[in-house]
Amino acid sequence: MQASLAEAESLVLKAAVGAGLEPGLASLSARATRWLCQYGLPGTRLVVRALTNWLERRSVGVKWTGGTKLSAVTENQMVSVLYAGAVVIDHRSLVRAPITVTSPDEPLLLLAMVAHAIGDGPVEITWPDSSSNRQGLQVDNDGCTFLGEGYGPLHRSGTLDLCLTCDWNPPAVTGSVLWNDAALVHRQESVYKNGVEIERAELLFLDQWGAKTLIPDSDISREKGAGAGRIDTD
Amino acid sequence: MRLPSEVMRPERMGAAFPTRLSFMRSLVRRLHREQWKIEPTAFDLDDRGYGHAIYAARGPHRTYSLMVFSNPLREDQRTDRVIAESWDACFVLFDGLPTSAEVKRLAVQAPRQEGGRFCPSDLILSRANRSVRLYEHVRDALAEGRQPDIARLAEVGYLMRTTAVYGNGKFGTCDRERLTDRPEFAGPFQAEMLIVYLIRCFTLDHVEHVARCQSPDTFVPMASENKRFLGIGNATGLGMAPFLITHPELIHYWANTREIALQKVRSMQWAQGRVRQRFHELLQRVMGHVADWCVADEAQRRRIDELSSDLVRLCAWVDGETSPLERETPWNAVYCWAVTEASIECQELVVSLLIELYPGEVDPLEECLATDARTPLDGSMQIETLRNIIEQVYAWTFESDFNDRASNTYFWYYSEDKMEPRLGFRDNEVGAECEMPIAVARDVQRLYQCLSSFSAVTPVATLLMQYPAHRHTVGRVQTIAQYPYGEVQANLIALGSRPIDLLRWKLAFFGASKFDPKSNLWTRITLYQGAPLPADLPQLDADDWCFPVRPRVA
Repeated sequence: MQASLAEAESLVLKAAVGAGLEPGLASLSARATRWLCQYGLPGTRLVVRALTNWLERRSVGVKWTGGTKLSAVTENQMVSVLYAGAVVIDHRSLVRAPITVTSPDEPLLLLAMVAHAIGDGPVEITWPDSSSNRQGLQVDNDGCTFLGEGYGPLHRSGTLDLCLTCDWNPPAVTGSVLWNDAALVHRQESVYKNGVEIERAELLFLDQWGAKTLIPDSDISREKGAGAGRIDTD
Repeated sequence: MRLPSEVMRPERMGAAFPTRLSFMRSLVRRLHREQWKIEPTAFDLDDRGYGHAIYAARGPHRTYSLMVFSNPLREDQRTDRVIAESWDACFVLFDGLPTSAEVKRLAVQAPRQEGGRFCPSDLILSRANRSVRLYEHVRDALAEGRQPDIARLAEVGYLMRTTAVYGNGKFGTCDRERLTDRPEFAGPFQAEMLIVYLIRCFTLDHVEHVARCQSPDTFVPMASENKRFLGIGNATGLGMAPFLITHPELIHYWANTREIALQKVRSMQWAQGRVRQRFHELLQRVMGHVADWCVADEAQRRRIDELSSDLVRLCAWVDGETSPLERETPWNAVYCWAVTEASIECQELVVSLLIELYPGEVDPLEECLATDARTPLDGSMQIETLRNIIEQVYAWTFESDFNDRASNTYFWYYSEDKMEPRLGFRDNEVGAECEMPIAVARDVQRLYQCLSSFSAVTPVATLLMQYPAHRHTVGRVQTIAQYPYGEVQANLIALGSRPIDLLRWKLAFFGASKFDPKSNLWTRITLYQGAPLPADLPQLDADDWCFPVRPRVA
């Protein structure tokens, strides 16, 4: 489905709340999704994966280890970026050294949360990749940089040093997220012109969880809940 | 300046009137200033008025099109509610001039409304139903060669009532950020205001078309003064209220800007003769306007009666021997008189009147009404600071005792039925666990209680890592510390809560008038009543249409 940015954000917000995420965290995930989608990145895909990981207990919340390192509260599990993103943002000015997040389940979504929420300073996310020793994303004073084949400024700057280490290779986003400036502009224009592509499976997932925020219809709610009559022929 | 604790209380919000800063006024000023041309480019309607029409609105840089799809509607399907499935007419504000393929596409999608799919070239989506009683009267009168009864026009005020206006990406329409670099849409809700203005144009043409077809030999067109007196209706329910809660920064800008405008006028040292004259003219006009304000709701009718009486006394006071207008700070005196001597409806009407007097001072403030600001959460803030903010900025929340069921009576929710926003009783309806997060007073109290388990110097980040459920509220408290007009100071889940007060406040910022409450949750209003017709736009007085009064019978 071709969706608007607002729809992508709204779908994620409802689904996250429906899945049981606290409203403040759901809102953060939704805005990060929109941030990614506006640059043609698969924000809904990442958040669906992150929500699935969390719902299926493959990823969990975080705890501090050693003052600057965020790890999963349960050993041998991935860090859920749905929680880690908020913790990193909230602690950005409290932790004087780079914050390390170990084993985040969706690094790109974490970057989006951080980059969206903060104003200046560098943010860097790297993870090992089979084809490159250092591939990932970086937000610095010039904007966001994609490391790898090419790069270009993506967004306003961020405010902390953030390093992520992964002991596995997170699912690749796509090769096409690596671009130069002209490609970036083109992708943004394409999103504004055509909307955001949300795949059917993602949409089903988001709709299914979003529906849990709705209350089943009943005669009493239909008659009384909106404070208006059902026929207006005057 | 009036403080948020005064301005953002529901009883005052529920007495709001449009001002010259209202979004419709801004739009009409632009249409006038930039000499926009509005004309139908297609009007393919049958004798009963069914078919499609296109109106082009040509500005200095761009053209927009209102696309209209008018279809038969069964009487038992005519409802103002979100749960409606069909309407008398459906509309899309299109970016540019549509091709025939786009007309075909939207002929299928627009009548589906929430069930349709739209694309970024579709800016705004809307629909409307006829006010059957007035539409038929006007149609028949024109067909019979006479003008409609002015009293009937005054009683209703519009031929059709919109029941939703969707934009900002809903159902695939254009995202707002794509439009904000266009001067005509930089202000709040300007694209929405444009479609509503164009819909009004269509309703006036539509009734004439049907009347002409009904009796071509006897038909007469509607007199321009009667057309001007017809606005476009709107029915609004709970869906509008959560917007005020979820956009605190924007709401702050609206309220703060209006208060700045009022303060500028109240600070005027002396009133020049022409301004005094203008005040007298407006006072007379507004008395006529209020006299035309017809509602069925008993409580609102009493408020209107009291307002009428207050206006008579205000008139006598400013005309009397102790008139303040020739003394120092006259407008402050008028405002203070209203506060001490008149009803809250009158006080807020006086605010609108005073703001109206100084376009040169006030109109530039319309640039301050829009913002995309989002306040980032500050995790380094200490618990003590957060506690102090709550005690100072959220003192009003402690008026509610949430151990008392009366403070916790309702929950707001979205129904599965077309996601219609509704209000439920917590004690005897299911679904409270899915309530919308707009119970600010309760959530702030919960946060405040939680703070007591942390030391004063603990950073908020520590609290939130342990209790992420408070993140939403912490962010809100920090936001309101910076944007104090951004919070409605009311417990919206309390017994006796009147969401309609919030609706009226927001609708007044749109420029709505003739508030016609149907319950505590639902109101009808009139938009653009008295506004210039497209042919009037080049005229110098195109901005002088506030507080319209029924035309005099020739």
